[in-house]
Amino acid sequence: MDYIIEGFIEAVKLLLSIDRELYSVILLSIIVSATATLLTLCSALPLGIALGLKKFRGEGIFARIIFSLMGIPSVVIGLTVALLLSRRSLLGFLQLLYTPTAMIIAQVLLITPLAMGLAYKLSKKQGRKIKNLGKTLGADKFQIIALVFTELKGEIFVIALTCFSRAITEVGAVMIVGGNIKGRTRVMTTAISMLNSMGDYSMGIALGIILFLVTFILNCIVYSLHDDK
Amino acid sequence: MIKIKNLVKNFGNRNILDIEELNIEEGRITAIVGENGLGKSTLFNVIAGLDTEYEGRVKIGVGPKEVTLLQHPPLLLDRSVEENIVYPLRLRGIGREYRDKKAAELLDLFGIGYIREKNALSLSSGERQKVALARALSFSPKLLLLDEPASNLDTASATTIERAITEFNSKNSATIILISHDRDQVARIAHRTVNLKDYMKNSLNYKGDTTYDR
Repeated sequence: MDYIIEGFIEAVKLLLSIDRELYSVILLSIIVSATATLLTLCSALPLGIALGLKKFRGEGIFARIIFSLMGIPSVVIGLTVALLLSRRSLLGFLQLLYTPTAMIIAQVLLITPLAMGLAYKLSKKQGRKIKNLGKTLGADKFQIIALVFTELKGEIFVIALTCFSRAITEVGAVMIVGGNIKGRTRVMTTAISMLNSMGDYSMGIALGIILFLVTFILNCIVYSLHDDK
Repeated sequence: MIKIKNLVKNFGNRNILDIEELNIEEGRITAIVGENGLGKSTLFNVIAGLDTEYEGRVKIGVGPKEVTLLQHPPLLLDRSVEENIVYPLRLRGIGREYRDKKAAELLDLFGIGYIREKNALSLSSGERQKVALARALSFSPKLLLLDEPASNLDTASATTIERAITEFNSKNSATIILISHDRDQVARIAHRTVNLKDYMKNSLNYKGDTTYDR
């Protein structure tokens, strides 16, 4: 138990000393996951909303597939992206493997089903009613789209936070496509995994505290938004 | 105003509507009554153009933007009462001055000036009904479909809503169709009562076609 307590003490010291390596890992984690989330929100989220607004053929199958993909293991995503980006593959010429870009691509693929599935479900449950209301008040197609997004902005924000939370806490995908390279692709989750196997608990605990704080703050925001409603 | 012919609406294997012919007169208040599950709200969705999966012909004598449907329970927007009321005017590009004037008029008519800045989602059910009806009247539609506009309201609130409906009809010659389970209310305000059960028959195979006059 002593080493754990010592680890905590050292972790707090590291955090307060603004350790360069520590904070660069934290910053990269946030940048990679925030970028992945933003890209997903610009693509998968509007698509999910659009699909939920109207009945379409194959809706049942689509829902089953997308909700299944929401639970796909991150290592499977990592492996898939690594195979696509490896030197011998089609996209090998891009030389993206073991770069933050590859990590972003992997996280986008990881959280896309989540964003699309949640947005689709939200849109189906509430978006259709809002769309019908807009129609009965004389809104045209673009006005209806704007209405749906403005009325569901709170819920959309919750989806965004959920996606970011999923991205920043995953380790499998970024470990495989990023390689956990010091100063280049090392993020909080891969660093914790590595430090644990090295027995360097102080840095690992420090990163764990930060990671916990990030998810705690996000969940507090989500909870307060739900509470307001 | 509205001509319905051979309207058949099914949901899976269940027949919801099966109307041979039903005409609604222009400029009058028509009440549609009948037991629960008869398809009254479904008929409203068809007339409002929200449901296009049916067989038969429904001809509406006004353009699609001149029809509005007040659903039950009413759905309000996540904004202030005043912004809810003028929302249809904003959609139509109506200027601020007219919107403010119309909002003041309707807030006064329904006696809800005291909640003008309040978020509509925090209102009581009676207040929500009034706001929803005020919003529906704001752009002076020519055809107004009201699904239980005064249900679950106290007598004073119900009277306010009934007065607003009859005044709107007489001032604007608007066609109003309302669904109500309140026989006394129907007797008070409706020019004509239609029991939907009297118009249902066996179905025929016709292609659905809602048309609006432009």
